[in-house]
Amino acid sequence: MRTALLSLRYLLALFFAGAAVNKWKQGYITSDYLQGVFLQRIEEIDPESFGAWFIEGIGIPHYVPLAWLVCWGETFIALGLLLGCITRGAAAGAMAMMFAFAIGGYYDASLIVLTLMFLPFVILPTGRWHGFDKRLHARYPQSVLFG
Amino acid sequence: MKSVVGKTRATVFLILLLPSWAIGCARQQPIPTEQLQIKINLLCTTCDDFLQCTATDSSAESGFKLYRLREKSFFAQIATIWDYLIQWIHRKTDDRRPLTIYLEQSGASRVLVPDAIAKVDLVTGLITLPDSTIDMRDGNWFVAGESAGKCRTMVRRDGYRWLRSLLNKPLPTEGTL
Repeated sequence: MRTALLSLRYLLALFFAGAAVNKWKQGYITSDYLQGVFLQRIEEIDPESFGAWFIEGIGIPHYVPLAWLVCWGETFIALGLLLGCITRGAAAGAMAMMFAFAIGGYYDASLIVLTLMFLPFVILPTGRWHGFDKRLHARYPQSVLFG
Repeated sequence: MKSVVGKTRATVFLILLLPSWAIGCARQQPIPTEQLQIKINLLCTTCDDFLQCTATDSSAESGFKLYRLREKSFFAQIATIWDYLIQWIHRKTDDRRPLTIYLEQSGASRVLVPDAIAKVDLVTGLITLPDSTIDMRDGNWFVAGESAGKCRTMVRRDGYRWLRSLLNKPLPTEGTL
């Protein structure tokens, strides 16, 4: 059971690492790439939906801070899951990011399944099974970060 | 004793399996997608499908009815995950979709029916609407059983663009930011 869960954690870490690498390569935070992504997406979704409102009202005008958030967020989540460091926080961050994508105009039923795949890593201390959380928890037993 | 239990299990298994298999075989097969002029993906519940229907005696420029098969509710979308997983043993052949009907006439557009239901049947190849029926095989449009014109699928992007013009919500562009 533990092996299966840890394998899944590494798989999801690689998934996020791939997404992060792509965004760094595309120059998300150094160009207006994300603005282009939003401008393209807005044509593909219901103009009366919350996603359209979000992209028009928040996404397009504030694409720079959002690009930073997505790029660094995906990078830290990938590292957290891969190294087993602040693992629960990384998994919770992944769920929050999936939820944000869904309400932000990228909703798809498969996102529900993908989001739920991170839940075991929020509930269970997988970072203490394998990862830096084991050492860090021993050093800082009171800290919720490494639980 | 063990063999009796084994036989009982096998019997129960067959009793449960055979009717399901028989039902599965008895189910009518859907019309192959390549034979349909109007294609609706029943497993895509986040999709909006726009069907533009034009009367026989007029052109699309002079006016048309736009049937918008809207995306389904959140919970219906979750249910679709199940439909997707079992599609190899039980393929979904019909569906009910929320519907909005729009009308464009002499350059003016409006909502004709805001909330209705469209029934899509891939076995008969028909889309049943509150005021008419569309034959998905050839796009023929029937009102009260009589041929009324033709329907075609409007590209989703164009459908949304049309909707934006109706709502007076132009697309944001880099220049307007």
